[in-house]
Amino acid sequence: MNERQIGAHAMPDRGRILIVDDDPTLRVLVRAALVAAGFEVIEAENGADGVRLGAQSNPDLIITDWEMPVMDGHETIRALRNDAATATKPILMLTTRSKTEDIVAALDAGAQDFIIKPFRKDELIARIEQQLRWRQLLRSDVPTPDPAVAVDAAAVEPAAAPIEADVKRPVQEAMDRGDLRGALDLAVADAERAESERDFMRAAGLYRGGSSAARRMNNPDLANKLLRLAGKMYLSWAETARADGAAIEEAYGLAARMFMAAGNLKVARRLVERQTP
Amino acid sequence: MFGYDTKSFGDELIAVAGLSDEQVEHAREVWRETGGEFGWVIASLGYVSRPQLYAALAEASGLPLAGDPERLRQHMDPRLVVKMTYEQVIEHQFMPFQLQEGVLVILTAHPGRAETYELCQERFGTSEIAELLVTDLDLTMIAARTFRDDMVDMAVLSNHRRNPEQSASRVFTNEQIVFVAGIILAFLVWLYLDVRWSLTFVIAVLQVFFLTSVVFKTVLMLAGARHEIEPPVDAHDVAALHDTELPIYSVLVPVYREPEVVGNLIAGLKKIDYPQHKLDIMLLLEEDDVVTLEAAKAARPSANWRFIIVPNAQPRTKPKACNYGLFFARGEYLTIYDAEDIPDPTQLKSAVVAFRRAGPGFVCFQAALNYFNAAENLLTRLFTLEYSYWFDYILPGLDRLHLPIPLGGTSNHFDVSKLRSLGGWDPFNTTEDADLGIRASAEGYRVGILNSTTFEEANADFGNWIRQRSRWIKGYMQTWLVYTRHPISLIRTIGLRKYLAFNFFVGGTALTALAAPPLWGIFLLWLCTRTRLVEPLFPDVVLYVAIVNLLVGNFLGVYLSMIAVFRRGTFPLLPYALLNPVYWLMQSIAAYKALGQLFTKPFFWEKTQHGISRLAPFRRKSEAVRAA
Repeated sequence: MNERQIGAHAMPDRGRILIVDDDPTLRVLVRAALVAAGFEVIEAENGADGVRLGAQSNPDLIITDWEMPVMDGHETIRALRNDAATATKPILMLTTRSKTEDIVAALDAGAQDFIIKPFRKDELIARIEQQLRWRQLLRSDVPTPDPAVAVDAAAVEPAAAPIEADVKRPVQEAMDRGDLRGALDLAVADAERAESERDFMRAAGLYRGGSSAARRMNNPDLANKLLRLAGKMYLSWAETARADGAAIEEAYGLAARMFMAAGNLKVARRLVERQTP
Repeated sequence: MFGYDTKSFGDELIAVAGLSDEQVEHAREVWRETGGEFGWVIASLGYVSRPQLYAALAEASGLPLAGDPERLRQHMDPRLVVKMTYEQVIEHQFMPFQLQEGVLVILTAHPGRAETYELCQERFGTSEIAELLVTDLDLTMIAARTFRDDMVDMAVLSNHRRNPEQSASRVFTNEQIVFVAGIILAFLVWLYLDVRWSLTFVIAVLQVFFLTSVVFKTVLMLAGARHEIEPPVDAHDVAALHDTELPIYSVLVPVYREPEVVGNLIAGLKKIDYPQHKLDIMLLLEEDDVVTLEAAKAARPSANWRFIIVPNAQPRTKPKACNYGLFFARGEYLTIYDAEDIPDPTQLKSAVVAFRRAGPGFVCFQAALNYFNAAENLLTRLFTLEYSYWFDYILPGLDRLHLPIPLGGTSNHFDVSKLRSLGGWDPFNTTEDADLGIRASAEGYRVGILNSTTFEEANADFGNWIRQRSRWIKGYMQTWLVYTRHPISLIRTIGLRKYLAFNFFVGGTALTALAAPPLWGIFLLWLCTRTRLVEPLFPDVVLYVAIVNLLVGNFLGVYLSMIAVFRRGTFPLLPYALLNPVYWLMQSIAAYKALGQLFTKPFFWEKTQHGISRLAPFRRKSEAVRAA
């Protein structure tokens, strides 16, 4: 490490990063790259230490390895997510695995992003900066509804989905924490129990809320996925309401609207046809 | 542009934005010289922001201006939306919203247009239309998000859907596999029966091929040199153009994670000699590239700039981004520039002249590419020599002889409607530009050469160069494989002469690079060891051809690249042409990498790092930090 980097280390101004990795060489590499870019760096050599240091040192972002002794990356992320101090911190997974299912597993475990080893310094910094920027945006981005549109929208707003307070609260709280995936898990768990019209409407409402949050967090893929899930909930409702013509029409109409909003006009077209036989 | 009460809109805009007298006077002057709509002229000069522009339009038209496009989208009636295609939404700049008691509510960025009312009447059976004003950017976003799956599908597969036989999505056809396997098998049998003559045959074929190739390139060079005497578009032609007659020109600039270049890019494109309000500039950004989008927004370009967000979908390549951008193009003509490019300011006008002068058969004019950082190191010098040779002599030669022209990566100027009818770029081909040039030829169109130059950044790093070159050679291999699927019918369409030229040029480029190392190897083996082992492989006739190739062929190769400095007078580069054999060897390394990838990962896009030149007009921050 040269003097410039040490200097930068002494005067961090861009944020504090916790590195959890059992490989000392890799820690040195990552540290050198981050310190040179003006970050403060804390190191932990295994998952358990990482969780402890995460709770003590209030890092802005955590980078963790996937394969480690004591606790692997998956367990580490779960533990970090369960600790109130680190539940909302962005986590980057460093992994040698480049297969889609491994990446999905990392994201499912609660990582925001992943980097495949061997990594490029610039990419690492760019991804960290991107995560931190999103955090900042998320804190400042409070959408302001346009009054002119709100009036129009109110005229055609479908019967508001009755969202039960007991289900909504934990989902909303998870969303407020920025833990979109946690909110999604809760909403999916709730939707799986849905049986009645009321349940389907409630689940669809949750998905739609999640979709708006995902859109604000600049995650269009997730936003569209949630809209499609909401569409499926309205479809399930249409299927349970076999006898009631008006309800079927409304349910297909709502489902079509969800798929249209998700950018899938092929399905929307078919649903519109079903809506008006 | 807006089809609305022009005068009151212009006045409203001046009032809303609080323009100074000088600004108003300048805008009027530009407007008088270039025509178009006064309000849009003011906006394109950068005097007003987009919200101001649309606030003024709302005042002038008396229509409500709606924000929050995502919320609007959630309340659009799908029964109306499914009756539209994205082409119609983009062309007419409106989206049906709701139908209430016989009144159709539409979201529009261009209110008051008769064409819109006609289409609504035809599609929705009502002439009662209420307009809700949205900005053109919001409407673009509404269309892009709502037709997302359709548009992604078309951006990736338009060429494949149009004609699967012209898509590189399949690398080898069964016929090609059988044919090549048959040849290899037959050769192996022959090799077993008669080692000497079978190898002699291969060497003879390669030697004759090399010789023909050198002769062909010499002919092209000589034909290309004639351009010096007869420049197709000169300064007088450009000066004779009236700005009022110029069509809208679209410019696509694909970028990825390049926030630092945006400011300079905007400044750079302001220098283009073309009325700003007739320039439709689209910055193509990837969906996950928040950094560049933020930088672009912060730079606050004038209203004729649009940010087009390309949806996340594989393959994530430049041709897919360009196909996506093409959906939104408003221009009659279109060109592509990279973020670092420095085009000749009059290039767009030259292209307009070229198109107007040329017959209807022309789909594209390719401008010359050259490098601003030739003097950086040995590699950039050799690369510049090659580009000068290629764009200043060889491509004009192909043009002159009416042969198929593989396009270069940027500064190709298209007729938009013809480009659309050709199906755009092939995202599965790693030299989508070269492929498009050949496809145009195969479809009976012509590609012309424009005597205007764009300066780019030459790759100054060996590894980076090898990656870039391997992608190019792999793309040439893909292109060659695509257009050798049905040789007979292609020969019928374009004729034997063009077909042979295509084979020599596209297939030959890859084959030369692959065949050179073994032949040089044999020569070096003989030179160093004086072994008699190779003698039986070179009977007299083959030996003479080989000697001619060795002496005359290599000399010509070097000589041609020496001549290449003449057009631009870059004589300091001249001695470096002697080092060309080293450059050829590098091409061979890249060619073998390309061949391997053709089998293992044919669609993989070896990304070239730009902005690493010391001499670049602006560099990426990360690289600048590293250099410091």
